[in-house]
Amino acid sequence: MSKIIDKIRKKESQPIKIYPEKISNIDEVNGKEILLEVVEADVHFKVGRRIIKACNNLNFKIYRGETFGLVGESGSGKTTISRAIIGINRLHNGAIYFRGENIARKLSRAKRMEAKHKIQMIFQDPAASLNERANVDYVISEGLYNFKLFKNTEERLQKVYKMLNEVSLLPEHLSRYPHEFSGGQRQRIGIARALIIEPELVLADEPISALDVSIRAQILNLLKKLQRERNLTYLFIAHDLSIIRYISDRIAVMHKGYIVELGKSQDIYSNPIHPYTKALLTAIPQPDPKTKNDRVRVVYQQGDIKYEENQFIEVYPGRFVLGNDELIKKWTQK
Amino acid sequence: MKNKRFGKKKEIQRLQPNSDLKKGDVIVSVKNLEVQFSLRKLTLTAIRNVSIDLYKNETLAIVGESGSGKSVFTKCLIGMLDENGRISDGSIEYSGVDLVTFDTNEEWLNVRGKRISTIFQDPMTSLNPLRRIGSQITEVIELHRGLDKESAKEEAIKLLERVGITDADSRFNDYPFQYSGGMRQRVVIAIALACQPDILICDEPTTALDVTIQSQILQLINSLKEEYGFTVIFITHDLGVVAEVADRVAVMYAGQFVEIGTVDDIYYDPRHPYTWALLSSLPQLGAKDEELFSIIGTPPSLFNKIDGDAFAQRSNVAMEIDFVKEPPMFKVSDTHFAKTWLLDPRAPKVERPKIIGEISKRVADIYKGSDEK
Repeated sequence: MSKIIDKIRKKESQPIKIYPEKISNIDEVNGKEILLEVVEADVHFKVGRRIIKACNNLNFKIYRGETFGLVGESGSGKTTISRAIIGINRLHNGAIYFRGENIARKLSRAKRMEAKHKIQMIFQDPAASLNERANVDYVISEGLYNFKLFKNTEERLQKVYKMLNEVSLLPEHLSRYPHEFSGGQRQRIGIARALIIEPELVLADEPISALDVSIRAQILNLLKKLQRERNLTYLFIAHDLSIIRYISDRIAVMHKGYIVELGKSQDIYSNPIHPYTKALLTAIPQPDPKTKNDRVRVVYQQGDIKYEENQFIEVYPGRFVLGNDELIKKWTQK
Repeated sequence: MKNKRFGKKKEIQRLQPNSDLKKGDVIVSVKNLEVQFSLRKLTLTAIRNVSIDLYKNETLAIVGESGSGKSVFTKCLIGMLDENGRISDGSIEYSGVDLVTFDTNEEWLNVRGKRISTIFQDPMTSLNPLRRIGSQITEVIELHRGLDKESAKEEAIKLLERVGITDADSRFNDYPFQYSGGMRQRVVIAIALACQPDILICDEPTTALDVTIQSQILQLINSLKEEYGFTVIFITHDLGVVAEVADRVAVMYAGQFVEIGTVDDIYYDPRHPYTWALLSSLPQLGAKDEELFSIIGTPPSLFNKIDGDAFAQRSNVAMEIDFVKEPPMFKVSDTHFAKTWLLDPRAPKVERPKIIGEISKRVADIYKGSDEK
């Protein structure tokens, strides 16, 4: 894999930028603690002779204790970057700082384990992501085994019981297998599995889109409750803008591998700047029949907006838009 | 085949033409429908005594959680119930015949695809991946409308253009994998429309699509409905989509319609506790600092006989009678019906959740950004 990437780099004759191993994890502007910072991250895939640029120049910070939402259509690169954060995809360029330390480079075993331990993932489809041959007891305690987080069986079971209780499952569920549960319960197992080893950052990749309407609210409430109790930080990935507003503090909108807009979630909704965000917002069906006639649907035409030539500009503190001065002037005028 | 061997071929029931129906006339009338499946020697009653009229050129949305019987209900209309399922009671009047009496495939061929078409959730499973798009459309036109090859091709290209595929001429010979998800769904719609059906059943047609594509497909279905004058049955669990497309809404729970009304009835004046619960658990409407309403428990098992109101176990406003006697369909207005004892004159007055009256305000707030404190 690394050979291929070296080849790609040679071909593009791009100077390899060296990123420092450690940076300060305190934001200079607002003094908040940065848990995760992604700097100029590119993820490229080589398919045959083609190079697919799945993520390009991504920059964002996630503060401790907040929920950071990542929205975009399928194929926009939102899952790719989250996989890069847990180290499945390698970065072609850029750096990912977790607690101020670059984790997108060759790490010592101890540090790699530490990063794996503190960053956990909740998957979209609980039926597909749980080991169907293992009972719930094993599924939930697998992380404990891997990181040797218990002294004896008693302590392990104690931790498992406590976790089960937190996600509102019963101790008798432990001996059952994932297929015996309903969708909502399975997602609770998925959450328990991820949280039992006490991660700091949880990547939730569309955790509720495979669930039934009546279950979604339960899982969202549970995620919020656990966040309050454990001071968790979420990176919440969704294609559904209506859900992301409720759960997120800040949102990044992705399109074709670029973050086109980033800001506080309320700002994004009430004052979208990038035309793609506008199109996305007007496309959400709202549960209010009256609005269907007055809402003007904007269809996004990329036209001559060239993402690769544009800069990620801070329009006002905390609000970033991909564009150039001229375009941003045009977009903000109306 | 069997019939032929014994020399008594069953007469195929002919459908009456119904082109003289006007907008708003009853096109399908379902009465006391009951559908049962046999599974491992047990009987599962998927549809329990359902009656509904479908009007010409309207969009009826059927909402409900998975397993409530939405898809099973529409499958009865096209005779596509699984092997182990059967209609055990009731009637479906359509064009002068009772669809329940159909038992051969030949009879169904006159209805399925020709008069009643279906669009499914995942376009990739409805299209044959090994055959060119064009031939998949012309096949339907040749079979059902008896056109020859050339004119079928012409017709197919016209259809493709109508559903919004640019340069349909050159893409006619492409394979499904060369189309994007939204385009594939457009092709499926074109195939469904090829025979100018009376009724188009859309079974979660946009669930697998992106938001922007979803809104385009919804608009397309709406404009085609106006143009061709067919009736749409729209199955979905997304109440946002329902508000966008539907004229009437039927809320389904545990194999029954618990509330039927116009969109305005359902969104601004819902009467059934289940409808309240569905609406108030929507994350769209949730304010940042408050917990979402969530429905406790799971739907009842349909293997057992359900006594009383099926939703009583999960309802927080259930009364004693809800556990004993099944409520009838109460009439709220000419268009609005709900199956709950709360509408009985003897029932105590129950306040519906506060959020129900605030839907419009909350939706407006989303775009104003005023729920930020």
